[in-house]
Amino acid sequence: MRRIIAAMLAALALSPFAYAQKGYPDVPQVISARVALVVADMDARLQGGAPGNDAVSPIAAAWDQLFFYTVADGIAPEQDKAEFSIRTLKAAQYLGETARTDKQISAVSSATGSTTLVEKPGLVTFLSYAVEHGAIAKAVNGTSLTLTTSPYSLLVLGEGGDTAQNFDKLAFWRRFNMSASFNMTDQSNVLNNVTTKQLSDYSGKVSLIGDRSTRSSKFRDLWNKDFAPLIQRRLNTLTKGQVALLDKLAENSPAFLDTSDSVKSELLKNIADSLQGKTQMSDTDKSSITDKIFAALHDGVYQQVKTGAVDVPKDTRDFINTNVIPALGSANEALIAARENLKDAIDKFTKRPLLTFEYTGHRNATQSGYAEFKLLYDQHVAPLDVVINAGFSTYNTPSPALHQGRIREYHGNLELGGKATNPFPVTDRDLAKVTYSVSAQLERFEEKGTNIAVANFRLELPIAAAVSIPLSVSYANKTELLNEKEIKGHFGLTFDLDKLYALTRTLTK
Amino acid sequence: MTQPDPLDPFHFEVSRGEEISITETAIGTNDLVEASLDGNTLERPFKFSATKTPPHRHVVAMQFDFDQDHTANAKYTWKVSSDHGETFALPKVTPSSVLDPGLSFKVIA
Repeated sequence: MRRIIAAMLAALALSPFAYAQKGYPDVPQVISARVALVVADMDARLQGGAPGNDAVSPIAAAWDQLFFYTVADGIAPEQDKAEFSIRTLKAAQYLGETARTDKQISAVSSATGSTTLVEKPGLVTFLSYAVEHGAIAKAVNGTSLTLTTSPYSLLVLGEGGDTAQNFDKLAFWRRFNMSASFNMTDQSNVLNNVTTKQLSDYSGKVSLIGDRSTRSSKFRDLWNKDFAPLIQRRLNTLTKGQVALLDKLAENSPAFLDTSDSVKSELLKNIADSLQGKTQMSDTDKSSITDKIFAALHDGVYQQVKTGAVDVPKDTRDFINTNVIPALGSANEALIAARENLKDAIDKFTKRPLLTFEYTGHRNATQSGYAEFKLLYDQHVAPLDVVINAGFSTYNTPSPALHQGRIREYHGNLELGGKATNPFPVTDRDLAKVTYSVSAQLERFEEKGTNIAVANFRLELPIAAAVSIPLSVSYANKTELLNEKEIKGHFGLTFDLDKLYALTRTLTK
Repeated sequence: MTQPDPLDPFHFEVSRGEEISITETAIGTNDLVEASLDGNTLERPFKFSATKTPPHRHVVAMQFDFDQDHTANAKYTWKVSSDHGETFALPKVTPSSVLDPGLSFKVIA
């Protein structure tokens, strides 16, 4: 995710406003935005270890569209007042990544400072750590190392990897996952801490009902029904315009097509040579490459069409100007609207019922360890999200001296949560909502015969674009250590990089 | 089918009647790919015959999307094959890539 955001921000930084457009004066935004994306992709490939010859491939990937838009610019009527023209056409929106609200990104509920009382079920945590080549994921949190794995990630090793097909085929095995946490004493090589002595907790989870992953076939069906047609509409409009233009040029000006192929080849060779031996691009490199692409398009394509050196027949001009470009503009608008619809669809998708069983073993160096057994249920009951946890724990080796029986404690949690419109929106594009929850926990410790009741109120208030303050107040009639009531509050600050990126991108348009 | 410019893996030269296949594998992400050929939807499995006469071209536009639960190393690998036997691997598509690459197939014979 960090890499995606970095690449996207790099693309933004490379916007036409960042570099002077010497190579293509008054370049249309649809071209400059695409060139910015190309250069960001090239830099990412270089940083990923690709040699210069491979790193130029994004130019080739985007060339057909760049060529089409440049010719469209060359044949556009002067002072085009149409709603959608090559001058007003925006870069296409990718639907891809959309912010999700049910990722439990704060500390786990037992951790000090956590504002969450009820753990949410689901395998999101595991999935976010799933590995492509290895079968185990590792995560370091302060002085704790957690290793996570599942039968699925082990099975796909011999089945061609974590492909979409295997994700469907081995769906049953995705329901299970296991993790183990270790106390870290060696920070230099974290895997050195994987010893029995340092094992602190281990757990297993089974998803009994529900699958909320957007990698599932159910989500793909939703995508294919509601969103793929919008993408397809844009692609079909684009290739319709491209092929109409190329067919005419092949009939009337085949030499121009050969020449533009040569312009592209020369550009690729020139830039590949300039990138040999580099592992990333400097700002100067980015500026220089951006300008070279603009110059190749302007001098090799735009000028040829604009000056009439290459004749594009009137019927083709009219078709592109009055049919294809407006249709592309309309298709882009539909995609922009679809981003919000997708967010809503994912929101609904992630509120389907989910039932998970969880086993956690706690080791303790000085006292008997204990095991927890929990059922976690999560469902949306309009207008609230309901999360119910219930379970008990048992001592591994009860100590009669400490009045311990086999059962350590019983507990049950209930959380009701919801969302409300933000009364303090930062901009009209800031759709962040106030989220709130009320939760209660009842716990009985058998050895002491104590009943502990905890109530918690949590409020997350957006205070700026992609920034919010989570607040919580909790009341307990007593604690595990003290036989007296306790009231405590927590507050923090949350930055949502997904939303920050989305807002930044929207505000630049 | 040939790839005349080694620096341009997206441009091919083909013979009339040649059957072209585009196959992709989604790794660490849901398989969310659309394709269009010459103004029309290219259905799965992505396959078509070169029917134009020289020096016309077939144009394919693809779009690869990544679902929000994709893994950190999610990618698409893909290749273009001909029924004449040639196969060319294309650069992998990652979330930071140009997600709607274009392919062109120039009919030369």
